Amino acid sequence: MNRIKPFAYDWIVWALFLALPLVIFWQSATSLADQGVAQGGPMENAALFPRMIAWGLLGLAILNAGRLMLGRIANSSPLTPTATTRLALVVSGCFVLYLLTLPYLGYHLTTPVLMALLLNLFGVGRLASLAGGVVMSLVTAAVFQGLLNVVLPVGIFEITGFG
Amino acid sequence: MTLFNKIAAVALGAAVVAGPAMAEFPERNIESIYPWAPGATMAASQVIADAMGEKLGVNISVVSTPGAGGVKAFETALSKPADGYTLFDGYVAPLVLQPMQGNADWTYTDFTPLWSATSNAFAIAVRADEERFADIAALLDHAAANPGDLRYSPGTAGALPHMVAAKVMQQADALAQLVPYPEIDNAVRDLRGGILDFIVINPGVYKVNKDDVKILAVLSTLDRSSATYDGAPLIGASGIDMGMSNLSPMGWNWWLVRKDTPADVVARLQETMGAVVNDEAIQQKLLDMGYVPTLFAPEQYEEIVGPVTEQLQGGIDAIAWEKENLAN
Amino acid sequence: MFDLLVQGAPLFLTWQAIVLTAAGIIAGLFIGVLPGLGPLMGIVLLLPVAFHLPPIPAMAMLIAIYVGGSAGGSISAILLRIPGTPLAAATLFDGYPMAQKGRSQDAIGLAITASALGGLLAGLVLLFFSPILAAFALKFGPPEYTAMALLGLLTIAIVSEGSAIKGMIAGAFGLAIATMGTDEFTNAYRFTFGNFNLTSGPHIVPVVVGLFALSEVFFQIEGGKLLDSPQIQKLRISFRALRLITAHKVNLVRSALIGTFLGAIPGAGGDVSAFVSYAVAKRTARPEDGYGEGAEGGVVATEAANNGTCGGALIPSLSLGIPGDASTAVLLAALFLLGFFPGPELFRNNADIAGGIFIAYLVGNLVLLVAGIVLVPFFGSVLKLPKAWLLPIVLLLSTVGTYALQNSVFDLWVMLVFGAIGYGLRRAHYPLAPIIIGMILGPVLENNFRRSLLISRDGLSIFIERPTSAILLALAALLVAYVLFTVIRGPAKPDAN
Repeated sequence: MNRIKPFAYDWIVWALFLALPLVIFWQSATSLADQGVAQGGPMENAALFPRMIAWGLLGLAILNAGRLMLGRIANSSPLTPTATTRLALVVSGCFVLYLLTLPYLGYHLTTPVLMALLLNLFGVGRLASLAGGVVMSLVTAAVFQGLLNVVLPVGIFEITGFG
Repeated sequence: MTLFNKIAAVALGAAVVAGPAMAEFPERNIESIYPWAPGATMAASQVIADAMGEKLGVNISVVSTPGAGGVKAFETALSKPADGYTLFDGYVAPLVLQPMQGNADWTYTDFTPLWSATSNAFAIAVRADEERFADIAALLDHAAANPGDLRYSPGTAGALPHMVAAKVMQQADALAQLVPYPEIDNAVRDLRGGILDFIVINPGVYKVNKDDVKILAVLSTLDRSSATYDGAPLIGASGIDMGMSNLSPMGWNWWLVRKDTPADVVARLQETMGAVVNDEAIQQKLLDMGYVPTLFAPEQYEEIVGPVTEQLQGGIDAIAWEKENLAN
Repeated sequence: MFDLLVQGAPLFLTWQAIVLTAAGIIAGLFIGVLPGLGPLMGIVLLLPVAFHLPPIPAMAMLIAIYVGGSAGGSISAILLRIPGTPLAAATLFDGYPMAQKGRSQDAIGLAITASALGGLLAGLVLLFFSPILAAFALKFGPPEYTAMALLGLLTIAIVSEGSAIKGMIAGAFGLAIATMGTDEFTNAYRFTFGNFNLTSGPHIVPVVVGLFALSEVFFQIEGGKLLDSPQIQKLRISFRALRLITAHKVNLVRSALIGTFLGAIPGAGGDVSAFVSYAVAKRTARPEDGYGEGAEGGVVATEAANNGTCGGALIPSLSLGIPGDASTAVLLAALFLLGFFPGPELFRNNADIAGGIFIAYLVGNLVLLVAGIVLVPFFGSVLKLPKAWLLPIVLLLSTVGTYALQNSVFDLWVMLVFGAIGYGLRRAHYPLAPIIIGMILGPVLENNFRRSLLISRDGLSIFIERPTSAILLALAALLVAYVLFTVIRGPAKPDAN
């Protein structure tokens, strides 16, 4: 019986939790050992506690693999995209682009564009999206900059808005 | 032309020449990058930031960026442009200590100073009802005779209070078991609970826990430090030389900007901060919080900060000495 | 007990704190009404705002969102048969049938009134027990804190929805994240990979926002129906519920106390206490009350219990520093970042702050009573807001709020990464709350463990020599043994819901 596909997400997450203890052991043996804090008493050994967690995680991951293989897990977790999964991925892509450009173009250039784009992608009309994007981003900026004195990213053009 | 008019004319001329630049800074809010977690010390920085902001007509927000003994805050501020919109709240640790320990690749000369802000002396405290030790000499004698018997906490390990305490103990050849408490409140709790025998605290913590602790010695050579602990004796009073003097054994901060900041911007910031720290109302406010305004002007930066470096090396060595002896 | 209130009053009685309490209740109600968002999300989204405020107004706002959000979920449960939050799942049983019979007005009124009164009762218990528990905990030292943090985390991991093993993995994951950054004993850099932004580890706010808010946005987009807006009956303002509830006095008090008690146990949470008190109310009712077919008592029982849980969860959080659920864990993080350490020291040194928080909680419930009823007509309109508009707003608030915390774009990337992790974990039916609790309790556990060893003259024996820590650790061992037993021997336990 196939135990991989119906539990795809379970296995992906399982791999993550298997990798984590390995990273802890690897870092303890390299970076922490280089700093001279991977052994000794409770005062000197910064790797003591992380290693304990790593062993715990490793044990739990093995137990969970056993449950997965024996079919002891009641809820399956297959990779079943819905009609709008592609849209969700496109939105995530837009957000990544936004984060990449934010430090250079600044909040006031990038945010209205992102918001208008999302609204439009979600099916809101063009004009409403544009207006909505601008209003949302301005209102948020007004609250954070005007009321809370946060300095939002100004970008290379030094656009400050309400600051 | 009277002298007054002359000055006025020069000032006016200067204003016209420097006009555009002066009018432009600051045209938006300023950030001060503060290297520790929020708390009493941050409130003291906020007092200065608020007063400066009022004079400059913008808001100065104190941004708490804790991590890596203050290095993270400096790295963060260094990654921002040198336009005077990002200030460094330059505490001893990131400014002097971390570079000395090889954790940062700058020195104090890589920054342009504004004014020095405040200083606070550390003190050795025991339980209010402690009967074993009448004074600091008794405590150190016990620790010398019974190495590792007493347990103490300087708060965070490796930080300034730890250095100063380790130095004092090294001078007296005394040894106590170190127990770090990054959250000093918990150290006070365990001092009261009998788990710790003494702790090293600052005036802010002392003010909150006055009734629970007794100050055996203020770790400073300056008489005014005693006042922040309600007149408790300086360590020198019991004949102990702690091997550090003036600002070296104290926590202090000096506000800074990046070295390549335009001169007119620096001048504006220096002038504003000077006016603020010399304002008596502000000084009182800081004193009430347990922080003593240092009143060092930008010109004194090198002469004050320079010697600190040498003396702190003694503290670093003392911690190494303590570690080696505790291991045995 | 009343001196706490007296000390806290001056801090709370400022226009800022009062306005923010009211605003928090209203915001919480709306956030709770919207399916998929809940009190936790509300707290998370407004957390960054709180850091720019003085401590008491900040905590008042967050607690008000907690209270309002816990109550708001009932409204969509009653009107749409979709609980706005898992807390309101039990409110469906009688709330929706009441609405079907044309009594949605009464059902919402009763839900709000029961929530507010249940919350007030819990507030009194909180006010009475927290200082006692805190005073007891004053004698605790590092070994006790080690044991308590371990037991607290284990309970939450095991009681959370989903399997106990997955809960424990999530908890350990939280602990692992918490080890990143500068080690507080050696000042060594742990798992920073040479990036200075990681020298204090990932900040808890981007982690929480990513895990909960971002993954939810993704889920909602995947769910489709972005432009849909449901049909809602017309609603008016009516105070009739205040009269109706007088018929359910016993039920109200009993349910609120059940909620408070279960809330005080780490991990139980509002959804559990709502189901328990519903079951009790149903068992003690007469057949002609018609539980399950629109009985007023059913709504009263679940809502009084789930708001009572809020007050209960605050008891261990404030007096011991051990959070009762994910929402209180984030509240604790907020208090911590505002410069106050929850635990016995809070009551000793900052009694005014502790008192202010209690007042905020009590006032929040009073505001809920009024605002919840006055705003009823608006809830309908909020429910009509299509996801196409709601999701960009959630994303924008998450982003700007997270950035504002440390003015850091790096934090936004952290948020994104944890958004992806959160999505995967939810797909695989892992509970997310233990991660947050693990992150909060990680440093407590590690520092106190290492401290205990430094204090001990005799290694690990310090944990057994001190009776309190020995008892707590024995309980923890029993829990682990029980879980291992069920995993190895027992039949498959149903995962999540």
